[in-house]
Amino acid sequence: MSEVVVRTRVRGAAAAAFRRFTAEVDGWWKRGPRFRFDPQGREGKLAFEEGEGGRFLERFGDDDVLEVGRVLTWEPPRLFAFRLHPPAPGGGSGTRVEVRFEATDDGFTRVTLTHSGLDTVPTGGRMRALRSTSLRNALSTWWADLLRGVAPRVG
Amino acid sequence: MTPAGAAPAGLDATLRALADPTRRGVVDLLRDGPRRAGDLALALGATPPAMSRHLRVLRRRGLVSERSHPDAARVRVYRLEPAPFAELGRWLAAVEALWSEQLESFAAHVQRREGQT
Repeated sequence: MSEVVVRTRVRGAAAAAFRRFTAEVDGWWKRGPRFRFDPQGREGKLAFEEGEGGRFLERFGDDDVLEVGRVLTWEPPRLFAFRLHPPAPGGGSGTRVEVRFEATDDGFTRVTLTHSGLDTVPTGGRMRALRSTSLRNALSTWWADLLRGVAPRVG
Repeated sequence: MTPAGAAPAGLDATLRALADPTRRGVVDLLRDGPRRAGDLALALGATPPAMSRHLRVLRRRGLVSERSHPDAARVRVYRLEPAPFAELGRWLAAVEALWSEQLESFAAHVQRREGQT
């Protein structure tokens, strides 16, 4: 398993859930040092800039902004993905968070969040190849296989 | 997001050690049981000195260890060590716990807002 998958269900249409997830991120993203980004522990206001390539920011003041990620996919109402930057320079290329919104028959929206941790692998040298999706998928499968098969047996 | 943003240093080292197809090949082969360095080199098409370098990287990270063969003390074999894999599993569990809290918070937020309209 190279990634974690977490699900929830919210009332309302997928479009509304998408909007609340993105435009209202500061209203639900948890507070405190485990969740917020400033190394000094200051708590700012989180915001996603709309559209692919938009920045994921924590704002502390007008000129005091920390970029904590980038929007990778902006396809309302179904799909949203962003990259979380590594917290320290040289800490790799960051991790990828993908969020899917699927309407259910009973007026709810199923929200599935997938966080791929593989991208925390440093990007120097050979690991640049990991930016190619097919290679990353191959490696991801390898990890999945490894952790299912090996870990319990040798552990 | 502390655990989500950065893997612990040890895990980073694990991933770095495995960032090579030959070394991943070694781990794959050792899943079936201990093997000699020479067998690994042959199976993966590496020269003995190259294999010895790869094994050193894996050993330094604690992913494999070198032992005497149970039936022939003079024969050295390599085997997998579970600790780094367990560490990876713990890290993933920590990330999952963080996101569970986050999505619970998101669901509560939606419920609050929908209640207002």
